[in-house]
Amino acid sequence: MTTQQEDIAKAIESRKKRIEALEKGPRWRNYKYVANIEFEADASIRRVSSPDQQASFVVKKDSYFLVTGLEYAYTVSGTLAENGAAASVLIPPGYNLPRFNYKMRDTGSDREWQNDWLPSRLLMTGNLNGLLFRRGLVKLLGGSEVFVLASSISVTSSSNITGLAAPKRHQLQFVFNGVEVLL
Amino acid sequence: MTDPKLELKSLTQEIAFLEQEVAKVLAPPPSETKRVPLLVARTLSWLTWDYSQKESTWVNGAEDFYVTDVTYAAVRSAVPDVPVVENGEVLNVPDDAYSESMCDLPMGLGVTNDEDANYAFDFVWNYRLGSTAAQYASSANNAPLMVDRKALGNRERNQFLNFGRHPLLIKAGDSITFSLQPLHYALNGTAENDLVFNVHMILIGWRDGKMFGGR
Repeated sequence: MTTQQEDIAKAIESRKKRIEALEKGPRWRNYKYVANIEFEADASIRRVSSPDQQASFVVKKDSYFLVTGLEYAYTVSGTLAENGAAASVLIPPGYNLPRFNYKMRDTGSDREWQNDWLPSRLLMTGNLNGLLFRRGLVKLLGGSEVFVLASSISVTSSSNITGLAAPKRHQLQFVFNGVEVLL
Repeated sequence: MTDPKLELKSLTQEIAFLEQEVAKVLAPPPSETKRVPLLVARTLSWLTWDYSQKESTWVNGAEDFYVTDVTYAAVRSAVPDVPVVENGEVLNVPDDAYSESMCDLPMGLGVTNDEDANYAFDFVWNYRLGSTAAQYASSANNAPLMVDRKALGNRERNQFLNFGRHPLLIKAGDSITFSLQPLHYALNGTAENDLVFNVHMILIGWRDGKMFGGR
């Protein structure tokens, strides 16, 4: 068999598998898309502000995504003050979580999702639940890009929370929970 | 035996056909194709011991807005102090550090630390639509009846005020006015008097994507 023949045989095989999958109909599964906003902040003062930050994700082609909820997690990374080892700490609720305002939009509808900045307190993490959407309210088509913009981010960088030395890297992880439908 | 190239071509065509069929099955009803999510936030603010009722109005744009849920986020903060800086070091905590969520407290709002554990904040609320002046909750003759904060749901239990299968329709050009009445409780007679309470009322729903209500 020549290389070209082998390639054709492989292509036939993969197409047959695809047909088999399509004949079974669409597949649904729980899925999460994540958009990370990262910034560095010094710990010389106990509360620091960061300029506006943006993050995005792209919905996979040949699928669409039904968003059922949105929440965020807050992580601080840096080196431990004690021994200089690299460490990353997920800050649980109960501590001073960052305060910020946020906005969302997607290229599918090409419109803002809100009339005004929304408070971060609507997106709690851990024991307080996030923002929920009724099923079918937010449907993102494959290939569309979703943007999250955070403004007036204010974080406490007091080292007694994390034991980390400055400078620290802060991460706001926006998690879009939902159902992925694969075509 | 079939030519492999021809077989490949026919398989590719079959995939294209099947993908179209699956897409047809998954296509939402035409009435839902243009839905765009919308979150509307209105912020109302008080200082400690301010009992005045506040109102805030939002005017809808050119599309009908179907509200599925209503919730709130309550945040308190201190009136900003002047930072004390010595040799480039900030000695006191700037005041926005004092901002904290009040959504998750079981009894009233604001009893969050020892410093003012004798003080609590809560509110009652209502809303009315501009076009009909209809109140969300009313006693006789459409007189407003203020509703307990807890009717907006318990965030820890995943609850919002949910309109279920009958979303609240705010038509294009219509408006909604929130009325909030604060409740300040002094559990032990004293309280700090420089706190700011912000209640963000949030409407969650979708725009139907038809300008001017499809007209």
